[in-house]
Amino acid sequence: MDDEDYLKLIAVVTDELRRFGLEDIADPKNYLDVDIESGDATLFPPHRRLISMLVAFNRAVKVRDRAMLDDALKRIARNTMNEGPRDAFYLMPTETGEGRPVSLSEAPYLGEIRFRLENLIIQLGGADHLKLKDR
Amino acid sequence: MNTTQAITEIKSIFGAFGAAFPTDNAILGALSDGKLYEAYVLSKIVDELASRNYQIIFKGTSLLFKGGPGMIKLTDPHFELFNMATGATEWRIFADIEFDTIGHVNKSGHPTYTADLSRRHELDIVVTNATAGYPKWSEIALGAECKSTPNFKKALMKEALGVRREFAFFRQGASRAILNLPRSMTHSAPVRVRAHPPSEFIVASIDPDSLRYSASPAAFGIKVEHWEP
Repeated sequence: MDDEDYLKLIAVVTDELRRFGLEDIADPKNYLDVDIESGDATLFPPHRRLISMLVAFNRAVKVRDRAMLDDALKRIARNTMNEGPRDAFYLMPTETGEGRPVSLSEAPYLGEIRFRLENLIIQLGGADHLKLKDR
Repeated sequence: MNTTQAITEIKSIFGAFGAAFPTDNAILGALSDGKLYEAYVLSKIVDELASRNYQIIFKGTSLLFKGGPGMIKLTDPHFELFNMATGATEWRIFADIEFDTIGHVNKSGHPTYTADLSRRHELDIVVTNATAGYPKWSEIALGAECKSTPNFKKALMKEALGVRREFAFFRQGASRAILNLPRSMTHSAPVRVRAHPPSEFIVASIDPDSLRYSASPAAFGIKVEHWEP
């Protein structure tokens, strides 16, 4: 693939990110090299920008993955003298002031999506940008 | 893999991402707000304090994170840190707590205003010896901010520097952090911070780029941690 191909892929990724409200990852301002001396900013070259966007999306997937909660609860259980928490709740503010508790266990498991995304990043030549501790 | 195959796979992955989520806006909001990451960072802090030889007990059945700022209530789920030598609870860990700032408490030596919105700031995780209400800045032994945003930005560090200013003074020399147990009770190397009181402040981020913003804040006792599963 050449720069033109990578630019096509960036356009597709940008559209998809915006479709899911992930504007921040789509924003090109996140992918700038700034020269500390001159202050000049240049956009990452297309391949690096594409990989950086996909890796950032991978982080967005991670923070929505139920596996992160499982990991946290296990770590807590290892370090507490008693049983430790069984679940985690989010108290959503409501109009009446009485919060509505929502179980974070309702978060989906996204391991399969992360696996495919990381494979895609590797196939596009971005393995060095991944944290592959668990693979 | 050629361009066409890559486009197909990208669209398929995003399609699967969209299909995986429940329709309940509340859980979507919690996930967008980074509450799973907050649980993850909380577990790392519990791990760190256990490594310093604190005995830790969880009070409650499940963790609780709030969508808005909160105060300390002992009836809310929290952790208690015991000092084995005294058998007393010395510190407690809570999530999503607002504290009374230096600027508020110290004005003329005592609080002189109550309604200004700058009176309190929130910390995602707090280790404190306060047992009710909003802790004072001087009652915080450790605070943490959890940054789950995929791209860490300088603005996040500017915000953290401002929060730090409101719960500890800068001090030229480093001193032992409050949460170090006496040498006779732990084998871990003491944490030292340049702050008075010597409270710790952790800015945890899922983005490794956050570490590129760590040198100057370190002078103020702010530790940037790249914590990513």
